[in-house]
Amino acid sequence: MLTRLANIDRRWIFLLMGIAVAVPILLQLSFPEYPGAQAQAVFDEIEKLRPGDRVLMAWDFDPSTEGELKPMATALARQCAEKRAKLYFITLLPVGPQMIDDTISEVIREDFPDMVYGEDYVNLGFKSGNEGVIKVIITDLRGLYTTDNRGTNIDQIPMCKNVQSVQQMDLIVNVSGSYPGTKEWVQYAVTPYQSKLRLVAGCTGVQAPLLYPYIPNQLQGLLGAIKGASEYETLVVKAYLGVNPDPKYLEARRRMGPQLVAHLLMIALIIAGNVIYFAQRRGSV
Amino acid sequence: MPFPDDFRLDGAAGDVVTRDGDSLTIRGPMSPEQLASVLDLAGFEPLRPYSESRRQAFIGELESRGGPLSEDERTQVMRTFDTLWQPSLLVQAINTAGVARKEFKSWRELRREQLAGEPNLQRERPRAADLILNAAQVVAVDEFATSDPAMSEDELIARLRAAGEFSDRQAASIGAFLATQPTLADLKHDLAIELLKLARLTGRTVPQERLDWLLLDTRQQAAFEQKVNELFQASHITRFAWSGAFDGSGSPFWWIYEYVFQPLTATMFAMLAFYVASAAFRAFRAKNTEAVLLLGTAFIILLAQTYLGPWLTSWVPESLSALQAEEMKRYIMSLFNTAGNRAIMIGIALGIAATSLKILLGVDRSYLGRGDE
Repeated sequence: MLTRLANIDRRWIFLLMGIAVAVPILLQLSFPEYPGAQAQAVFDEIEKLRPGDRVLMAWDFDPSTEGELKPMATALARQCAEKRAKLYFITLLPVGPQMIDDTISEVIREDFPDMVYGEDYVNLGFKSGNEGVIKVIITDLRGLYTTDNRGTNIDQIPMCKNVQSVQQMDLIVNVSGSYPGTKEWVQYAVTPYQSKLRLVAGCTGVQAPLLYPYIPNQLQGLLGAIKGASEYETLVVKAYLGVNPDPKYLEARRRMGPQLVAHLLMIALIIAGNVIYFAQRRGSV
Repeated sequence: MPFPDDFRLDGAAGDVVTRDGDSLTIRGPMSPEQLASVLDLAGFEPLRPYSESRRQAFIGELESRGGPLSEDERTQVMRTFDTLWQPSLLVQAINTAGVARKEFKSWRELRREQLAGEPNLQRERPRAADLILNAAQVVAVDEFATSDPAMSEDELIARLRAAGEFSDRQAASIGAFLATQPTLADLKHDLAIELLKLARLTGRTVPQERLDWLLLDTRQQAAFEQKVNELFQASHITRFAWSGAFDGSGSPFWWIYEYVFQPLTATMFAMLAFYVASAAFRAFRAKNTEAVLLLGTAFIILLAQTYLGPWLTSWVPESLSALQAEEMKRYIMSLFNTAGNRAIMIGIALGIAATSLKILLGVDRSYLGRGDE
């Protein structure tokens, strides 16, 4: 029996995981969230913005991590737009422009139709070069970004006219799925100009432990994985969206249901694996 | 192409579609959202209930095309108008949207109440009062529905807000309600069908002129939709292969991204959950002290990353808050994890510096090879 369990076909485990994720989605399980210190730090940092402040929105994620990061990107864009900041979207990933387009169409065009492209927000798009791009634009934005994503000359975009470098940004908001991401923004942008730049970030669960050493001097706040996103979402909803927010601002909380059951399954599997291991060892002694 | 009288262009299609007289022009491919946007804004508004005078005017129009209506036909016309919605239905829809939803307290709120000495803890929050339209608001809805056809939906919402408490959900319910109602074209089409059925029973014929008038709006609506659909198709046919915005909606790259790249990459990442679960079952063993520590840490983090962790440790008193799941997670991440990661980073930096110095000073020449190859 124990041997059979120890050698169980892994497809049964896959099936269990599939059920663990699917059932909460189908039952629409949702749980209350209480904001943690990091979510509060991110929220507070953005709250300090005044109307007209410049915010660099570095959307460094792609469809592979979209499930984990898009909810926080949506909520971050919402709060920045609520603060009436000027939003400069860029990305260091080739498919990042699609993520930016999604945010612009879902948050800005839908909920802030009065915001004008080129005056209140601009999509500068993707540039190849990873951290090399950061290294250049931190001193010379116009040298690399001669046009926006649509091909419009940067000199013809009103909100870009007086921007020479990223150092003029009042805040950098980074959503990072992989390399290049928050670590590179910390190392190549914020660290050399710590007195000028502030950075808040959202990242995947895998990246979060690697970024904690930079808190709080180089990184003012960090949203770790969908848990961080749901905590931050709770703050944004409470502050700006009232009791019946659009479902797109509840996406992270919706995803906490499957995460709860999947984590429970993981714990159960680890315990079961160890019970079988020790029982077999005792039997063989 | 025939344009509805109050046709206007904005929304998702406003940026790329332009109207020049009787023709629509689009720059680049048209996305399904833009197609829906043009059709939605086509000016075929949902009907409101017809008052007696408007019904008589409509019958007058009918009789001016093909002679007077018979008694049966007149009754049929009235019946068709009776199928339109009544103001009370809209009031009911708005009131339904105003019913307060159930809301639940978080575990922390409950805990706070418990610590404050509340003996009878209630999970559900006291329900807010239901928002029911007052008499003035009902009058506004009546006017919108029957006596003031010029009043727009936005004007109605403004009046309802001015007349009393009115929520955004209630405002949204008006649009949702009207969206399900028939247009004038639908009503005239239904009436034409009913008159034809009646004519078959009574042996009378419906004059062609009357039928044409009744079906004119439907034909216009169908022709408009057909033309917009043709525009949608035409916008995807490029004059030169691979020309146009490479990532524009509907382009080949867009299609590959939307239906191949995005699902594949998302699936690859999601599959991690399955393999991690399988690996955890097979390989995560408490073989020694270090492994036990790692297991314990993993359990705390896994639990604290969900609602369950804080809930399970909510009974721990404030004086021992360090033992609550969230606090333990915070300690692990900001203390042990940060210290470990910083040590690794400093170690790597020192290693790089030492190796660089060795190479620069010629102490380490292994990169040149040993000379025996």
